[in-house]
Amino acid sequence: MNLKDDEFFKKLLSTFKVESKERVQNMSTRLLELEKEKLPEKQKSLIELIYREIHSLKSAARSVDLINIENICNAMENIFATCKKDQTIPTAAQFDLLHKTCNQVDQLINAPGEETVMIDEKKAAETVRITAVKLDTLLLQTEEMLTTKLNLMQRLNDFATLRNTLRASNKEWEKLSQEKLILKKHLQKNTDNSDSLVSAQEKILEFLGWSETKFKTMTHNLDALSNALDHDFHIFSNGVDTLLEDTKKLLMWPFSTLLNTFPRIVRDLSRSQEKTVDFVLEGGDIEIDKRILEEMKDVFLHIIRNAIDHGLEKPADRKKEHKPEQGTLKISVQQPTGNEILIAISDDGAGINLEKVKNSAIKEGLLTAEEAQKISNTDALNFIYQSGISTSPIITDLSGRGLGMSIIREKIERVAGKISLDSQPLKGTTIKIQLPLTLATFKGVLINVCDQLFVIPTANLERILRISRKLIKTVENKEAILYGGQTTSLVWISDILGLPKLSKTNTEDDFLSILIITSGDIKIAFVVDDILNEQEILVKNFAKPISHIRNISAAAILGTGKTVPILNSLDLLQSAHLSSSKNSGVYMKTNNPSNKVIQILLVEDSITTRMLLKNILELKGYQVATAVDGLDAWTQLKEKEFSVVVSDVEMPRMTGFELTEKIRQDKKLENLPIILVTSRESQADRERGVDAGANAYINKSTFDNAHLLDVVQRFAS
Amino acid sequence: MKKNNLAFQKKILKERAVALAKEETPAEEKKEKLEVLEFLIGDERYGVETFFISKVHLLRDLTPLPGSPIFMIGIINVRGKIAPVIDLKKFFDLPGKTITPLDHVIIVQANEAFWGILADTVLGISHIPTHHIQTSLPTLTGIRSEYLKGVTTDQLIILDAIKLAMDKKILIDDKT
Repeated sequence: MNLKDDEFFKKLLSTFKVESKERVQNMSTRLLELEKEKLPEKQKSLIELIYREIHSLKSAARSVDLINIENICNAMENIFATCKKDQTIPTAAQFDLLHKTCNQVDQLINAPGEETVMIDEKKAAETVRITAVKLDTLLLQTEEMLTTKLNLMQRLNDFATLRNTLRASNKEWEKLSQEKLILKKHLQKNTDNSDSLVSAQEKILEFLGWSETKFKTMTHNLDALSNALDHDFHIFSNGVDTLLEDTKKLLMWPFSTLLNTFPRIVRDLSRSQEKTVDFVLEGGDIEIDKRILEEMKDVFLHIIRNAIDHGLEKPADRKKEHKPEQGTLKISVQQPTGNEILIAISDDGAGINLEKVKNSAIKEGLLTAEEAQKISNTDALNFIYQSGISTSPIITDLSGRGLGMSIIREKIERVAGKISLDSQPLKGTTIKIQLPLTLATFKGVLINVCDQLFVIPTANLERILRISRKLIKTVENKEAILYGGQTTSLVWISDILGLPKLSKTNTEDDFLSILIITSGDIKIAFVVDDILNEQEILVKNFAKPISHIRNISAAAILGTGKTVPILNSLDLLQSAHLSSSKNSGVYMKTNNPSNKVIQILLVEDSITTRMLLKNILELKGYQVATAVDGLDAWTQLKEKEFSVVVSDVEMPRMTGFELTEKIRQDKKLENLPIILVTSRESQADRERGVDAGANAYINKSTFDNAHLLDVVQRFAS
Repeated sequence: MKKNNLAFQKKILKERAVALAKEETPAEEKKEKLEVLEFLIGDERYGVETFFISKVHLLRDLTPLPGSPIFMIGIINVRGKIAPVIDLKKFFDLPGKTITPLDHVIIVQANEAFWGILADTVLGISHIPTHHIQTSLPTLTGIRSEYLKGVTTDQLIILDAIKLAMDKKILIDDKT
């Protein structure tokens, strides 16, 4: 659903609210009148009026997809239909029921679209309604208290330093007790000195004695103060931690707030694919941190799309497999222990085609043909998480780009969750996601690289090591170490950040400080100059004009007031890969911009569209030749060499489909990548594109430049 | 008596002339004036509308960010918010070395952007009548001219904070 649809839907919903409130009000009023009315003709007309209100409300509810209201109206309609037929009026008991129902409908009307969460009647007495905005503000303020907590820790440290200095000073003074006595005696002996000198000596000796006492008192007081501060700090610290945890719990929402939007989406998706789906939701009452739920929206959407697009088969195919024509898609949420939530999304479709996955992996260069033969099914399945892997034969707006699952896993890992999947050919697929109840406080490790401080998030940090330089191995010209029994690439963080290597690391210091950073299956060892400590970090995100800086995700403010950049673990892994070669044993595909000039043939009969697309492609650095229809394109293809063809479908003289077929039939051009860009939306057209042999089929109405450029880049390299 | 009358009349006329003359200045004050904070970068005087200025303080605890553009010398902590510090000389690609110690940061907030401008000395606030600001100057060449509201007759270069905030060049965006 794109943004325009969303906005329109919101407007529709608010119109519905107004209309339906009025109707329910009318219904209530008429029902009351009907109860009192004795004259049969008047009763008849009242019944007719009420019936019409119910009927209108029912269709209005259906148009905004409020199925529960629709169903209720249906039931009420039935009562009145019978009344009309039998020429009776509802019984007393039925009147009661009808009034209650009107109230219920009224409540239901208020619920959708607002941020407040629906609660059932029993709980209503113990609960309050509050806007989410207020809670969000509260949470932000509570998090800010972390800053004070960190500042106080810093003060305590500074205190300790101060006390140590004082103690050291006292010690030094005490060491001189012998010398003090000698000096005293000497000064007393030399009584033949002038009076002023004697008095000066006396005064100084007096002062020394006085300051010695003072120092001791100060030290004593400072100790007491420091202990008191320590005590207060601990109480405060615990208080803040508990407050933060409880505030986070305030922001827990039931899964149903997210899941309730899905039935409509499933219905739309399945209709456009000409499949029928039975959508089952379980465990909607279970609550989770609102922020985690928001992150999961895209995840669930993508998995559902995959299930409907790839998993569930068409009714005809399902019949052949002796499966019920209607496919089943089920989302079940459970909370087995107090601390985590398990979600299972399962379909009874065709399962994930391992052969296609393996082939896609081979095509992306992640697997050789021989390895593909030997690899286990579980390992093969895990390739799904690599970006670039897809089982879809053609790239559509919905799928095939191969990015989905890798982003999904990233999103899940970012909230400290886990994902696993299980698939049985012809039986179906189940995706299991494990999530924590609340978003954990951000923790990071303070490191020193080239005399500059940085923070590495604890999230992707697997381990910290100190190993001897002698253990560095060289594998195919790249440095590596043995970790957990596996050869792991070794990369200097200073190199990635473009900082000079600190001389310390080049000299005798035999041991290296190393961080093992992982994401999914990728693991790299990073060398830093020093590892300080782990602490809670209050993340300060960058605002405009900073949009994105390589390798750095945000900044942290330490107790000292200093700002420290927070490194982006995933960027580091990516950058590390860019600086080493494919043979490092790290499976990560990157988009290497090719140095040669890419020639694109753009086929489009509309002048405006042609100009627009040519501009977009040329800005990206491609060289674009244009053709006004299929025949023109064909002539040009025979004369010049092109890397990619981007073509409209509906054109005079030769359509995009016909052009594609012709290209595929030609020996020389049979592997030329063809991207069809069109305003035709139906599944049938998409299939025609696949049949003709196109590599991708992009819809103009959901068009955005980035998508087209993405797809072109995939095929251009 | 007549002579006195004439003198009296003249006096009244003069008073009227003075009174009418005075009325002109309030009218002039009604004309638009821009309240601007002036500061020095090297030997050039720059100004930014005070409307967009959040605060000014000494540069300290600057943290450089590796991989950031040259004109962004680092980030600082401004009451709990992170602000990038921009060196205008480098941003505008101006020639000449920076000999003077740039030690003030002028924190600007325009639209949703929040950043600091590096400056030598802060001169103070002045009110510039808009008609003193020339928007097109043949001597204003280069990148700089896009971001200026104009230059005054006494060589004060007034920056357009909104243009700076919205500009793509200042948008520090660098996807891996």
